[in-house]
Parts: sequence; C-alpha cells; structure tokens
Amino acid sequence: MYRGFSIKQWLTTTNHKRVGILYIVTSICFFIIGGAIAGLIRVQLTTPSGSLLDPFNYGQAVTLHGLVMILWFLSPLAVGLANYFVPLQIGAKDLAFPRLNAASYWLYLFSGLLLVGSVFLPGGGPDTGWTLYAPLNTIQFTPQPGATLAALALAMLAASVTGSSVNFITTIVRNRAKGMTWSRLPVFTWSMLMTNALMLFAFPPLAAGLVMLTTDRVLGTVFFSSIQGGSILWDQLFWFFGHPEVYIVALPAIGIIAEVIVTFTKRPLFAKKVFVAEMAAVTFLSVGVWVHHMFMTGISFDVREVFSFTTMAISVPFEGLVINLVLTLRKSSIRLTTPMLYALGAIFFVILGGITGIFQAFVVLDYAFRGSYWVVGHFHYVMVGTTIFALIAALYYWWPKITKKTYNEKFGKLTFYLSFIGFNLLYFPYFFLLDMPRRISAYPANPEWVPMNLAATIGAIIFGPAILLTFINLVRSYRKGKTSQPNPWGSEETEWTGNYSASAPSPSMPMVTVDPSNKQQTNETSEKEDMNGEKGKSTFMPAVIAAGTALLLLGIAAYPPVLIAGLIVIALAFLKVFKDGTEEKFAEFKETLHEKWPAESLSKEKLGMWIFLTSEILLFGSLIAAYLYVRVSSPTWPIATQTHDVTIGTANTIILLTSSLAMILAFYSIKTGNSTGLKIGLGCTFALGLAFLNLKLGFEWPDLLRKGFTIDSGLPGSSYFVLTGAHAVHVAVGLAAVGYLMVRAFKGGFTSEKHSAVENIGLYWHFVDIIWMFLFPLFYLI
Amino acid sequence: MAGVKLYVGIWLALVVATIIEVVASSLPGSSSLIVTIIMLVASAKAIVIALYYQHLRYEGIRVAVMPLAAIVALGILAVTAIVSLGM
Repeated sequence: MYRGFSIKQWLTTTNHKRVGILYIVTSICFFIIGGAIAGLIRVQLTTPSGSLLDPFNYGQAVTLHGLVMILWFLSPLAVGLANYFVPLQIGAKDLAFPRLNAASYWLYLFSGLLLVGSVFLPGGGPDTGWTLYAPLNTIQFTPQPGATLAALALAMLAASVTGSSVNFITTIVRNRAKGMTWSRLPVFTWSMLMTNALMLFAFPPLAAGLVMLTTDRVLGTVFFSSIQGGSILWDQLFWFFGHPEVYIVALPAIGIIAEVIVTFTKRPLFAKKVFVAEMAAVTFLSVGVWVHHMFMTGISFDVREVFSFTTMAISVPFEGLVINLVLTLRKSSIRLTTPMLYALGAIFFVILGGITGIFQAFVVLDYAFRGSYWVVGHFHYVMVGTTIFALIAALYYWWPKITKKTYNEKFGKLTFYLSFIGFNLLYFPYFFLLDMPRRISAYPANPEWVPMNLAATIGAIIFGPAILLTFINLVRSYRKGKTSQPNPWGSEETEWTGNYSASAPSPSMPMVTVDPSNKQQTNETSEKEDMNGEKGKSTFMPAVIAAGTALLLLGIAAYPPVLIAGLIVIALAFLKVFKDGTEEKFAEFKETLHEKWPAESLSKEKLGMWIFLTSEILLFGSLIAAYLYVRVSSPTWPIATQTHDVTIGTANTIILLTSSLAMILAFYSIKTGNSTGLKIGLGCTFALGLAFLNLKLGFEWPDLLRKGFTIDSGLPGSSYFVLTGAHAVHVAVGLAAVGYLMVRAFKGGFTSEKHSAVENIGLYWHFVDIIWMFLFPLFYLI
Repeated sequence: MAGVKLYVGIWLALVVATIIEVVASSLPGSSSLIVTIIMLVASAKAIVIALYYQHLRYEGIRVAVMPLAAIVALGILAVTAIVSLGM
C-alpha cells in the first residue's frame, strides 16, 4: 500500500485512493481521541461523586466527545472508504475534482485540530454539549475563546463537507463507466449518493447558524442572546442539520452492511430496487423530522403534532431497509467471516436502536425520556452499535483490497465477540437509567444509579480494548500478513471484479462462483500508475489553503495577529492556484461520458458548480429564514425606508444587474469567438462589482454607523450587517474569480471551444446577483 | 442560444421591475398587499436571471431540480420556524 511514498507525496497527493487512506487514518486517530475522552467520562460516572473531572471539565469532555465522534470520526471514516471505493465501484479513474478532494481532506484535518486544540486555549474549550444550545453558547454564559474556535472549526468542517458533496455527487452522476447504469449501481455507492445529497442540504443551515453565533461572540450581534432569536432560532437551524446527520452517519453503514451480506451469503440483495427506494425515502423524509428534538420547547403544539407524525413515518422506510437485509439472509448459506459477523452485529443493533428510538416520536413519551440516559442508550445503539460495527465490517471486508494483505481471521472473530459483549454491557444498562439526567458529572443523592453505571464501566473496559485490538489486528496484517488474492471473498461486486459491462451479472444480483485467482479486468489504476500519475497532479496548495484557513480562524477566535498571517497564507496560496490555472498546469483529465442520463451535454465543471450553488442557496436561504424569524417574532421593527437610503440601495441593485449583463455578454462573446468582447465584458463586470462594494462599504455602512445603526444595536442592525456583509464577501470572492478570468483572457486562454471557466464563474456571479434581488427589498423597501 | 438583444432586453426589464418595487414601497394602502407585490416582483426577477443569464431555461429540469429542492427545503424550514411561534 504505497510503501516508499514520501511525506511530501502524502502532503501533495490528489489521488482518490491515497486521499481515502488519509481520511481513514485521520478519522481513526480522532476516534481514539474521542474514545479516550469517553473513558474519562465513564471513570467519572462509575461512582456517585467521581473526582476525576470537575463540572466544567466534564462539560468539555462531553462536548468534545460528541463532536469528535459524530463529525470527525463516523462520517469521515465513511467518506474515506467512499473515496477509495466509489470510483472503483463505478469505474471512474478518480473523483471528478481531485484537487477539491484533497482540499476537503485538509480542511477536515485542520478543523479537527482546531476543535481539539480549543480546549488548550486560556479558559478552555466549549462545555455546552455537542448541540451548542443557545443562549448557553453566547459569550455571556460561555466567555472562553475556545468556544468561538470550536464554532469556527465546525464551520470549517462544513466547508470541507460541501466540497466533498460536490465531488461525490458529480462523480457518481457523471463519471460512471460504460455499463454502469443506475440500475446496476452498487448499493454502497447508492448510499453515498444519498448521504452526500443529505450533507449538501444539512450543513449549510448549520453553517448559517455558526456564522450568526460567531458574529454574536466576536462582533456583538444579538441573534442568540435576544429573546426574539435566542434558543428556538438556534434549535431550528441546528436540528435542521442535526437530525439528517443521524442518517448521514447511518446510510453509509446500511450500504456497507448490504455489500457485506450479499458477498457472504452469495445471495442477491432482496428487492434491490425497493431497497434503493427506501434509502431515497429516508433521505427525503429526514429533512422533515427535526422538530422532534424540540418537543420540550414552547413551540406550537400543532407543529409538534405534525413532526410527531413525520418522525413515525420515517421509521417505515428505515425498517424496510432492515427487513430487506434480513430477508437477504433467509435460507442462504452464510459464511461467518469477521466482516459478516460485524455486519450481523450491526443489524442487531439497528433493530434495538430503532425500537428504542420510536418512543421519542410521541410527544408525551418524549417528555419522559428526553435528556435521560434512555436517550443516550438509544443513540449509542444507532451511532456506535450500528455505524461503528458496520464501518469495522467494511475495514475488514475491504482490507485485502486496500493493503493486498490477509488479516488474522481468528483474531478478527475474537475482536468481534469481545466488542459485541463489551458494547452491550456498556450501553444496555443505560435503558435502566430512565431517571438519570444526561450531562451530570456526579449523582451523590442517587446511589441507586451506581450498579448500572458500574456495569457500563465494565462494558467500556471490554469494548474499548476490543476496538483497539481490531486496529492492531489490521495494522499487524498490513505489516506481517500473507499476500491476499485479488478477490479473496469471491465477490461479484465491481470493486473486486472491475467488470462494469452490461453483460456481466449485475452487482447485488444472482452470481456465479468466481475464481479468486482471476486477474481483474478493471479500470482501476495500479499502485505504480498511481505513483506515476501523481507527477503533474500533486500540489501543496490544498494543504496550504487549509492551514491558512486554520490560522485565520484561530486569529478570529483568540489571536488577532494570527488572523493577518492566515490571510496572507490564503492570499498567496490562491495566487498560486490562479497562476496554475492561467498556465493550465493541471490539465483536466477528461472522463468520457459513458452513461449519459442525466448528464449528457453537461460538463462536470458545470454540474459541480450547480451543486455548489445549491449549497449556497441553502446557506443564504437559512440566513434569510433566520432574518424573517426574528423579524416576525419582534414586536417592533424600524421602517426600512427611514433607516436605509433607498437611493443607494436602488443604485446598487442596478449596478449589480448591469454587472450580470456584462458577464453574460462576456460569455456570449467568447462563445461566438469574440475575445475582445470577452475582455470588455469581464472588465465591465469587475468595475461594476468594485463600484457595488465601494458604494456599500465606502458610503452606506459608514453613514449608518454614524447614525447609530450598528451591528450590535439590536436585531435590525445585526441582521442587516450580517446578511449584507455575507453578500459583500461573496461579491469580493466573485471579483477575485473575475480577475482570474481577465488575466487568463488577456493571455489568450479562452476560445470559442474552450471557455467553461467563463460560464461557470458567470453562474456564480449571477447567483450573487440573485441573492441581492431578495436582500434589496427585505432591507430597503419593506 | 439567446442573443445580445435578448440579454439587453432582459436587463431593461429587470431595471424596470426594480423601479416598480421602489415605487410600490412608497404607495399608501395595505402594507401586506404591498409587501406581497414587492416580494413577487423580487422573485420574478430572480427567476428571470436564473432562466436566462444562468441558462436554466436551456438546461432543463435535470439541473433545476437541485436548486428547486433547496428552495423547497428552505420553505419547510422557514414556514416551520415561523409557524412554531404560534402567533
């Protein structure tokens, strides 16, 4: 597995397999950190008056454990596996945007370092719980800079996830090999398509909440400290992300379980089309159930009733998935290999986790269970039992493919039995702690909770080492294991066979015995090809941009001078990226469009831009929704025309509209071969964008500040400056992109045949224009 | 493929629509009616830009489905948040 690769090669790689390995290794490191913190929590709770952690440190431990495990371990490990295997499953040479893929990884790594590092800042890190509830998350109750840094780390992770979603969706939609039709698409790839679609929709509202939280903490806005915004506004935005996150974690697990079961039963997946439809139904419904996390708030009872129904509704397709898996096992000859044992364990846990979760759908029962260890038990059965067991199944299942080595089967089975026993001993007692509240660090008045806590700690003593033994087994096999056959399981799945043609048995369909010694006839690149392919594709810039972003965010949270350093690093890195772009250093690798629907005549760049714009719509839309919420809930609101200068607003609207006209004419010019028209159009767009920013930042904002309409003067000021400020940042980014186009245009880099960058940056520019079409009336006219 | 005349014509229409919004905001009468008119005009402007300057009209539903789904999701979020106030 890439023995002989230098550190430089790992730092500069853009190859999907190597980025996948980086994700897998890094996520396991975060898992060990999160697990060690869990150990501290367990030790603390073993006795009623544990003295290992004081309440503040206990709060930090609980917060960090939740965030690290959910967001820096579970999802990224699945993304790492998907990085490696989705291109192999669909027959693509790489992900659609390799450099973006590398950037996603480095943003993920550095965001995790920021989060973990937040506890080492003066005053410590966040101690609010992973939900960062308002107003606890405001500077009044959580004044430490580490809490700001943690919020920014989450925002950085959201950027990473968005890049990743754009990449995976584009790749799966557009870069499938010939014969890899939608009906033949492997189940794991389907699950990652759904997962990435969910990530695309769930993370921008969280990012919007984090933008407002950061401005609350750093600039003095009052979104979450005001009565009109406050806790409910945060709840709405956080849980609009938070509940889909459960399925973001669970869907890849379901896909993995299906792959493993199909291989080790030698049976087709029971009703594969129904299975995929059920995953799609879960995906759609999961954005409509978030309010069940808010049943105990004072929101309208009617809304609670509706979401009680939707929460029950989503269990139907999800349990359908489990039934499909179980029916696949029926009357099959099961090979109880290590991955199969873990997959069966995951099915057991998803059933138990699902049953214990359905109670939360009922408002009255939720009153009883919410905030208790029952809920802790329920979500650990789903998140740990189902997902971690499925992910470990995947590691064992695909380990021979990744490392070309065989692991120790007996040792593997031993780790499963220990994990299974330890897990149940750790989490099942929680169901008997119905009246024990979450997030308490001591319970001296309730000694009756000791036996169950003691049992849980004994379970942890078994479960933690069992998981570590799993990693030891895998690492040991990599170092000393026997060389594996190319297809040791005799699987018919495409990542093993490399056979994508329509004449081949469909993945997850009836199969014949495969000779495991068969040489693969695959689109997969060899290790040598990967190494050679790195030449000309490798770049430090994704890592440098992520490092610069980390410095920038550290500066915002705690050390302002570092902010300048971060900005300089980012600026220099982007100058290099633009220089590489104008010199066309990274010549695009062309993936032939084999499976046309629905991507015919749609370049991967354009498809990727539209997916990115979808996330941008959700980001701005969430900010606008928050604005509408605080405005409707406020008893009074200043009259727009008396606060803002309608003339300046109107002038800026016409300036932006004209810039859009200039941009589209620039595109039209180069499309018809008129490079002079392109230059004039781009020049006008750039000048008009600058004029817009100058009028806003040079005249309008100073005038408002002089009148006392400031960012911290109340919700009207906070919402105006944050929304128009976010828009101004987008205009500035657009200007940088248009500047890049101008340089490239003056170097003769565009022709009537080659101008996709003009079109795609144009799409972004028009999007920024569209957002202003709503901000203008909302702030200036009504 | 659309031509220069179409793009300039659309720009003119967008400018006129902007002026209509400004004029409407200063009209006396029912504020909810005026707000509705202004937001409808704003939405129409956004749709026209998306259809013609972003070429959604020519890309078809396969591209439009993503931004449309985002708008539906946002609608659910905004309506739920505001209705949950119970006002």
